[in-house]
Amino acid sequence: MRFLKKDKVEKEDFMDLIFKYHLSMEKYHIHIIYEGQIDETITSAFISLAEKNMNKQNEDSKLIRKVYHIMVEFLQNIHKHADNPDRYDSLSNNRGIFLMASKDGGYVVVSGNFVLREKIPGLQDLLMKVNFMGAKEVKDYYQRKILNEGLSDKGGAGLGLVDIIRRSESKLEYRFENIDEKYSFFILKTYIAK
Amino acid sequence: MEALYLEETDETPGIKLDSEKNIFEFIGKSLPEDVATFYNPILDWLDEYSKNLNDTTEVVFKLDYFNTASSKMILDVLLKLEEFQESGKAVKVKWYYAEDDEDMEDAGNEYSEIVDVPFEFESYN
Repeated sequence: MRFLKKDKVEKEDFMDLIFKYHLSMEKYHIHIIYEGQIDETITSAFISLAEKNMNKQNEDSKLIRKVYHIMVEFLQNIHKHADNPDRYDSLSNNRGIFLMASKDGGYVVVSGNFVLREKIPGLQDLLMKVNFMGAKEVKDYYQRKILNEGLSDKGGAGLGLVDIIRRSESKLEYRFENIDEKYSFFILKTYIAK
Repeated sequence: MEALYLEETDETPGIKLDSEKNIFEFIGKSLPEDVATFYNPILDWLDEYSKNLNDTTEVVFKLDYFNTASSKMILDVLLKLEEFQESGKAVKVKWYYAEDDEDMEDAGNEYSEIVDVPFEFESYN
């Protein structure tokens, strides 16, 4: 009997949770939210879903393209750079949380993933550097990078963040939430105005 | 030499590299996670082709999207074309962009500033 009771409580919790979740989705105009492994299949599925939604809403093709580009860079950032705490199994490699929502006529894209705390200073430096660049500097930086540097060992061109800034024309917002002595949770947000 | 044809997919552009027919094309989207695996055979093909170049090589880029990692590989392709030209053969890049896609037009312009080969721009609907 105790089993049954526990079962019942859990079921109610989950149904409660789903409903709350649904209300939040509506409240924040969330189109996509996902937490888990990010790979090519997920990336493809999300960008085509987002494209379809934006087309249905008759969004301008330029805005659709910007959101599309930025989503790819966010998702590939997680895929390439997320560090996974040992407590997750190998199936959970390249894990992260991803959100895309409508806001004030434009779109918000947010991601979250674990990073090793030792990487934070480097990441902060890069974020501060690119956030303070003007349009011309961003372009020069981009050209310099593709010309002079090869791909990283992770196959990236090191241009994801710069490209996001270039296209969104807004500053990146970010935060690091400490998880334990080894890992932090890195949250990155951008806004793409109409 | 043997032609290289790759079907267009959701993540990778359609590739036609055919020296006999004198067709060189990159068409579609380029956002593979692993750009090196996709582009290395293309760069190898171009290296092989450089040994016996056609008198003129016109390369068509008609891309509607590429990610930052691909932007580096596309530059590597363009730098190969620059080498072809340096060896005395004519090279031209035809850069297509959707009429309302200024970013793709800008990307072509930026490449044409970096790489010393003639670019011809053309918009499409």
